[in-house]
Order: sequence, then structure tokens, then C-alpha cells
Amino acid sequence: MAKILSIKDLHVDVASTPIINGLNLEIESGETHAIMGPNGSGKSTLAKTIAGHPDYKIKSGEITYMDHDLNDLPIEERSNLGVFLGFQYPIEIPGLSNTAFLKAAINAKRKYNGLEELSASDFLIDLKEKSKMVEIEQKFLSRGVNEGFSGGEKKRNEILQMLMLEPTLSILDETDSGLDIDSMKVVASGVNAFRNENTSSLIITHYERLLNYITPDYVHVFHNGVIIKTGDIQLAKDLEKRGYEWLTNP
Amino acid sequence: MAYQSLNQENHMNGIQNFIKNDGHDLPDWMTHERESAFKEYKKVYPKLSRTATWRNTKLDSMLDAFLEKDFKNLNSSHKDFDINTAFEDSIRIYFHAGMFFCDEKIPEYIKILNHQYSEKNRSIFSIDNKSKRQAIPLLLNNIVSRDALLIDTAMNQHVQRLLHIIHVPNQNINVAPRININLAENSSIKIVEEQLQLNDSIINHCIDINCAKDSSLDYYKINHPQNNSHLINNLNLNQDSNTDVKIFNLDLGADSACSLNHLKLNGEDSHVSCSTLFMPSAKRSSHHNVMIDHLSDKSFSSVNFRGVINDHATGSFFGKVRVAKERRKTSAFMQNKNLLLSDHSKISTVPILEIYNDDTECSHSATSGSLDKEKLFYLKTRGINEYDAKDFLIKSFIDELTSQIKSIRIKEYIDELILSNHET
Repeated sequence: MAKILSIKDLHVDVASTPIINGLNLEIESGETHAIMGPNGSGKSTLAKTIAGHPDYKIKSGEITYMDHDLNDLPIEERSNLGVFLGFQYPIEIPGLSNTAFLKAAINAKRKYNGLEELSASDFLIDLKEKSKMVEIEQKFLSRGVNEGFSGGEKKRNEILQMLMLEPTLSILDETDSGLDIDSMKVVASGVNAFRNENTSSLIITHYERLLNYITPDYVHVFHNGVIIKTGDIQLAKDLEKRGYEWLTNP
Repeated sequence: MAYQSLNQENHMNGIQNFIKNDGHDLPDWMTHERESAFKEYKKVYPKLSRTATWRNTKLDSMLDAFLEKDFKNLNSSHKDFDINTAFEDSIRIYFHAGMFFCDEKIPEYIKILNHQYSEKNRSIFSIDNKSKRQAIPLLLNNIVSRDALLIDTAMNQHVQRLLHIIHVPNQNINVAPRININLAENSSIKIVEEQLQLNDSIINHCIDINCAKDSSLDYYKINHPQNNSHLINNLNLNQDSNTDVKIFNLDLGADSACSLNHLKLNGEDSHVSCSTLFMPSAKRSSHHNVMIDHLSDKSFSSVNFRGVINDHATGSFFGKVRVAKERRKTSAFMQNKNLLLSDHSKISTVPILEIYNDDTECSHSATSGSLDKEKLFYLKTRGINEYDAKDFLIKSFIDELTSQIKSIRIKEYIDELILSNHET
């Protein structure tokens, strides 16, 4: 299996406050990793750092994605190379339709990778099929990006974007937060439909419940910006029963 | 503070000389109108030039250049100019060098004053019942104006053809277009007024709109970018009961551009929406002042002004909604949003509600700021580069306003102008 993501001794500051403190993590192709941890442990910071948010400053350490040093790559280049971040709080952009946005994103990636623009008809066929998978009605696609969407619809729209962009590494930051059980099943089935030997996922969550639908290969517990324990799905079940304190404050 | 750099004595003497030397071809009653306007102007100028409205709208820069420009320049015909604009099937009225023209047989509901100067039209130059803040540009318009366009629909007349008023490109001229629209009962019309490019000029535009009951008007004013020019737009609106007026202004920039709008809802169930998009760049300024008087029960107003301000440009918005004590069940919504695209661009915004009863629903909001960093980040995480991401956000900001334009072809035309202006 090929190495997709390699993080070595990563230290990240946000507004001059150290949040990630010497993190090491490796993800190989086809693997699904889950990161769990209490509030403020640095989970979302890790997601935004990999995506390249300018407020998250790498002080030292390395993030390597498929032989690319991510530290110096612009945000859009990371995306075009196949890194996708599903936002915890998806952003609303009124006035920019979902369809126009998705088409621009797909064609930006194709252009970066030396491919011709997708024809309008091929794009619409793909969009129709994938929006059906995540149960997003066609009328929502002509609205502004996430404009007037419910919490669940926003999260499903994130998964739709993931399906359309076909990333190699998907980072889903608390995609389950604010979802009812039906929406969570829809989101999970969208993620599962995309799992294969060439794609990898990093799922950030507080709770075990999403992992009942997307079974991870590894579960990591995050605390104070480092991984303090790694296990399998059983670890997530233990956390659900016992909480985090037996690990963070033994 | 009063405007200091203007030499008032020279300014007043200059206007006096203008009245004396210009207008020999005009009827006596118009010359008398000019003289009485000047008399009033001398009285109000010292008071009004001390007001906040005056400062915010930068009328001083216009006055500074006021006497330096030609007042008429009829050496060329409007036909000499290549008018590259849309709406081929519309009724076209041209405004060139201070005069209105029409190349086809003018429909009955349109009258052009210079075709047959008639004293019975004298009332169009009246400034009675006009807002004090508009007095100076209105009086100056009366002094300079040589012509007027009158649009008087008949009762139950619904004009199907678009009326397109085109201000012909020109340079080094001081013009004062005067337009008077009177919609009779149960009539309707759609008007696009387009100020094509003028260089080194002063345009002091005044429009009066009176809507009798059950009438409706769609009025679009488009100002192309003007070079080294000053542009003032005065709009006075009176609406009777059950009327619907939609106003959309696009200001693509002048050295100084300002709009003074006074909207009066005099009848029950009168609805007005007034939207403006202003996009100054370089060292230009764009200033907008809107006053809405709810003078009747169950009246509705919606004001939405948006500024996209670039480079070293400045903008301002001053809006006031007044709901009188006895006027109930009114609704008023006022919003001003501004996008500052440069560290040097500036905006001042003052939305005010003056509500004197409880039985009303009013809201106002104002936001100003640069492009949202989190939105930019979001777009970039989807592979869109910085330039395109910014472009998307600017267009989405604009589209939220222009999407309210119901006419598809007018919207497409306006979108095209915005796009070409944005790209330059």
C-alpha cells in the first residue's frame, strides 16, 4: 500500500498559542482513520492545518502528502492534488450557485492536472447521480452555496462536493455534528460509496455513532495536540462507555 | 463646516453672467425661472453648504468646476455619435448637449419641451415640496437647464415598449437634464435611462416622478464610468395608493458621483423598492443619500444599497426612513452593505430609522468590510485559485442585488456592464 499522508513531529500554533505539540501520524491508501478527542484537543486544528488555513502556523515538523511537502503548498494546490476538507461549519456564499461553484472547482482541478474542462452535459449527469446519492434535491443546486440549507443539508452538500471532486484523501471534520440519525446514514453511505483501495479518509468526531456506519481501520485519541492512544473500533466503543477521562487523566 | 475653497463672490458673479449671456434663444418665462432660481440659490447656499449632506455628497467639488465648463455645445448632432447600447426595439430618446431628441415619431405620452416651449409646462421647474437637501442641485438645474422631457401616461395605459433615455457621450460640458414622469391612474411603464461616457463634464440630473393610484413604474438608471466628471442624480418620487415603483441604480463611477433620493409614500398600499450598486475605483467618490417618508398607512419600502469600493476610492451612504405618528401598519427595510477591496478604500454609512408609532415593522442594517477570509479559504479548499475565488465573492456580493431585477434582458445587460467594468 502506498503512503498517502505522513505527519512527523508536527507543532502548530494558532494566534501564538501552541495547539498541536509533536504529532505523528501515517495514513496509507485504502485506510480510514478516525480521530476522537475532547473539545479543544486540537482535532479541527489538524484538519485546517492539512488544508492550509493561513491562521494555523506550522512551527516545526512535516506534513507529506504523496511525496509533496504540504507545508509550502498553496491551499488550492493541495485540493487539486487530491486533499479534501469537509467543513465542520460549511460556509454560506449567497449569490454563487452550488452548480456554478462545483463546476468551477472540478474544472480547476482538471486544469491543474492537465485535463480538458468537463463538458456541461457530462458535469450535469455526474452531478445528478451524485446528488441523488446524498439525497440533495436538484432545486437546492441552483441556490447559493449552502444558502438557506439546514445543518444536515449543509453536511450532505459537503459529501456531495467530496464525491464530485473525487479526492485521494478526505478529511471530514465533525461531519456528524448536528445530524439526525437519518442524515447521518445518508452521509455515511456517501462516504462508504467512495471508499476504495486508492482513497483514504481521516474522520474527526466526538462520538462513536458515526463510526457505527463508517468502520475505521484505526481509531486515535487526541489530547493536547498529540495522539495519546491508537486502537481499532473497540477503542471508540470504550470511549463511548467510559468517556475520555480514563485516558486524558488516568 | 462650510465649503471653504469656493470663492462665493466669484461663483455668484459667474452664475449671474451666465444667466445674462446664455439663453437668448429661450422663452422669457424660462429666463425668469432662471433668475428666480438664482435669487433663491443665493439665499439657501450659505445655509446648506454647512450641512452634513453637503459634506457627505461632495457637492463642493462639482461647484468648484461649475463655471469652467461649456453650458451648451451643439456643434455636433447626437447622430454623429456611435451609440453602442442595447434594447434595439425600445423607444429611444437622446439627450445631447442640454437638449432632448427623438428620431422617430414621438408617442403621445412623451413631450420634449424644446420642440415647442410652452409656459404651461413651467411647473416642472418648481421646487415646491422638495427636500431642502436637494435645493442646491435643483436650483442649479433650474439655472442651467435648457430643456425637459415629460412623460405623461394616460389613464389605463400600459406602455409595452421599453422607453430608453440615452445621454450621448460628450466632453467638457455642463448639462442639467430635467425629466418629469407623471403616471396616470392604472398605468404602467418601464424606463431605462443610460448615462454614456462623458469626459471633463458636470451632469446635474433631476427627475420628478409622480404616480397616481394603481400605477406602476420600473426605472433603471445606469451611469457608465465617467472620466474627470461630476455627476449628481436628484430623484423625487411621490406615490399615491396601491402603486408599485421599482428603482435600480447602477453607478460605475465618476470623479464625484452622488445621488439624492427623496421617496414619498403618500397612499395606502404603496410599495417602493430602491436599489443601488455603486462601484467607485481609482480616486473616485460615490455618495448616496436616500430619504423615505411613509406618509400613509400600509405603505412598504425596501432600500438596498451596495458599494464595491476599490483602490483609493471613497463612498458614503446616508439613509433615513421616517414613519409619522399617525401612520400605521407600515413596513420599511433598509440595508447598506459595502465591500472594501483595498486597504485604502473608505466608506461611511449611516442608516437611520425615525419611527413615531408602535404599529410598524422597520429594520435597518449596515455592514462594511473586506472579502471574507473564511469564504476565500472555503473556495480555495475546493481548488479555486485566489484570483478566481475573489472574483467569485465579488460577483456573488453583486449578484445578491442584481438578482432582484425581474426583467431578464435588463438584468443581462446590467450584468454585462458590471462584468466589463470589473474586468477593466
